[in-house]
Amino acid sequence: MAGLLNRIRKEAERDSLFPKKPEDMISDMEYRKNARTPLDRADELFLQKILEENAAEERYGEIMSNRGVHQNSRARSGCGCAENTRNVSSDNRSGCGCGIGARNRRSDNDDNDNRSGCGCGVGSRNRRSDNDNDDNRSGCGYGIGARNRRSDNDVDNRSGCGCGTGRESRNEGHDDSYGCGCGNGRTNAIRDGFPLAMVYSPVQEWRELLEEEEALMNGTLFRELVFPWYPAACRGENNCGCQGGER
Amino acid sequence: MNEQKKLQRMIQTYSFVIYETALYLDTHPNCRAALDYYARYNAKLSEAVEKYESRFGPMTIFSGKNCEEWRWVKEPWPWEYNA
Repeated sequence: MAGLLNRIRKEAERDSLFPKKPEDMISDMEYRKNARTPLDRADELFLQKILEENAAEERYGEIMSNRGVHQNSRARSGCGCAENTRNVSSDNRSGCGCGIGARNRRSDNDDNDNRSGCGCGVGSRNRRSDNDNDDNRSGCGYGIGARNRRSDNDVDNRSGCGCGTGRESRNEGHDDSYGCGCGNGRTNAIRDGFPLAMVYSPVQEWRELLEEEEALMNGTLFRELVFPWYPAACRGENNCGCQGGER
Repeated sequence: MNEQKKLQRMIQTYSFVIYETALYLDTHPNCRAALDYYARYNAKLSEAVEKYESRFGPMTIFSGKNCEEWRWVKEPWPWEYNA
């Protein structure tokens, strides 16, 4: 405590513009420690939304789980909604690992796993050392701080994996990844491993030029850039004022 | 369409083609085909403007036809010719 006070006094001496008593500075520090900024509150609202969505995912996992049982395989649905749950070979796992802090730690060298909705939740993690083939992972690793760390040399089909802030998804080998990062495994919003928030545009080439008069009438010199506009037809009985609204 | 309108239309068309080619060259400055195309139509435009101005006076204030005398205010402007 004495050392802390000395440090605060030194800081107070340096801060000649706004000198404060050490006692006041300590109370300021405690206030800042417990302060709830708008960002703090926004994070909490986002967390609440994630929990609600995770609950929905868990119900979805149960509905979609494969209840057919094969030799040496087990069907689990809604499993692992708790910490440290572990799933082993030839499994059909759905909705596993949902919940805050849920973890799926696997050393997995089997084949034909079907994991859906695994690892959803805040801070969920999927750590796999995986050299098997034909895994089908969908909706894995969704949530804030979700991470997919894989050492992966196989042919996998991952959809909806690795969504969340600060994720580290890696696609290696001949992976066929669809919709990675979309979160729920049910959409293919991002295909072929394109990262988010980047615009991709093909480079134009000097080809297929229109004749000069035709270019003027079409508004472009390049046939590939001719995009005629077809306005929608007016609907309703009232005259909406549209001119020539039909194709 | 009379001769004046025809020449105006020709100048407008060549100008548009040159604008389009210039936009392409902005992103492809080393494209030889585009540069040749630009040079060809630049020459056509100059020829068409010269042909127009020799018959109907200066098209703009930037025309060289204004140098000897300020013809710009003495003759009808390009948009004032009757069709």
